[in-house]
Amino acid sequence: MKINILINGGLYSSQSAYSAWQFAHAAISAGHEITQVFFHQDAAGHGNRLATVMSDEFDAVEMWSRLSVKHAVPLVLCVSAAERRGVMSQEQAAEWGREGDNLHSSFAVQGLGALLEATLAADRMVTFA
Amino acid sequence: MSCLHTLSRSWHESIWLYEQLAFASPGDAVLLTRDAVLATESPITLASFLAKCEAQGVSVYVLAEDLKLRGVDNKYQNCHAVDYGGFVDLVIQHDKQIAW
Amino acid sequence: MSDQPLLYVFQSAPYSNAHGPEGLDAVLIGSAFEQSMSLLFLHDGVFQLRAGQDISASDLKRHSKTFRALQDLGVEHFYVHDQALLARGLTPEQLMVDVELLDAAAVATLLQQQHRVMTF
Repeated sequence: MKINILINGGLYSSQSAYSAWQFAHAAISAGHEITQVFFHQDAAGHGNRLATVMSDEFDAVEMWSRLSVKHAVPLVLCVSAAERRGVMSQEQAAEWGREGDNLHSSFAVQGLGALLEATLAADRMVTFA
Repeated sequence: MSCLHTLSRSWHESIWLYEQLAFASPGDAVLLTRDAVLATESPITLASFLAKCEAQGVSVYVLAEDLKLRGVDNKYQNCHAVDYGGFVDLVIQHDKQIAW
Repeated sequence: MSDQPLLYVFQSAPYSNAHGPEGLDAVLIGSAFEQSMSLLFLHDGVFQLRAGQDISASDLKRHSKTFRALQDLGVEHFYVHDQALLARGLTPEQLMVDVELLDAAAVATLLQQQHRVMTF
């Protein structure tokens, strides 16, 4: 089945995205397709390529990136949630006149419409609040 | 049409999760995740909830990984432990999931 | 495409977190998708609709007035759990929009009728 995932919980501050990551692996192992992982609210921080953890900690940004590359799972940050939390692509930073950018190359930035499109096209939607 | 309700907040902080059962329909399932699993060790916290679920035709599951992480033992036989593969199966078996 | 009704659930009180405004973002986008949309207020979420929220002395943006604009954007129903209102000493007259009160059984039925339910 086609499943899309919505995550609301923050980077490092919540277990929700880690739980979603384990769910995504289990779903793929069972032969299902993850059509999109959408990061809304505090979860938008997951697109920050500068997020740095100790070597013995779970590197959520990197682990999502690996899952995305290995299984062709699109990772999408909510554009307004990301901008409010200072996660920006080069283009966004230029648009807002900000110095520097920090968007990880495995993540795309799109509006909430992308979440609804994926939701209406998938067989199941799973939210990790 | 049936629904998987995933609960993630501690029952010890708030009684509102008990209220949530009132929003479930026969054939629905409840999955306890994250801090919601903490209730399974208490001899009283879940007992009346599980009895109500059984009477209402709602099945109750608990995420085994989250129990293990927190060192919590599930004392309730009618609260079935599942791994992430089981979580995926529950999502497939129900038309929709609601994250409370 | 056949109608796939969407329900947005608000369960947190306003201001202490961003669930209200960011949930409203999702509702506003949803209006472009021509699916029927409804809002449901549970628990402290009923305070999102409380009339008389005064931000005149604050720098915060009052997102709550957006709820009133939603009726023009195709949101068909504002449902409120009757016990949530009662438990907080509120009456429908104290809310900024006209709402439909639902008891718990009616909430359960409403949830069954939805294609997708998003909680904020």
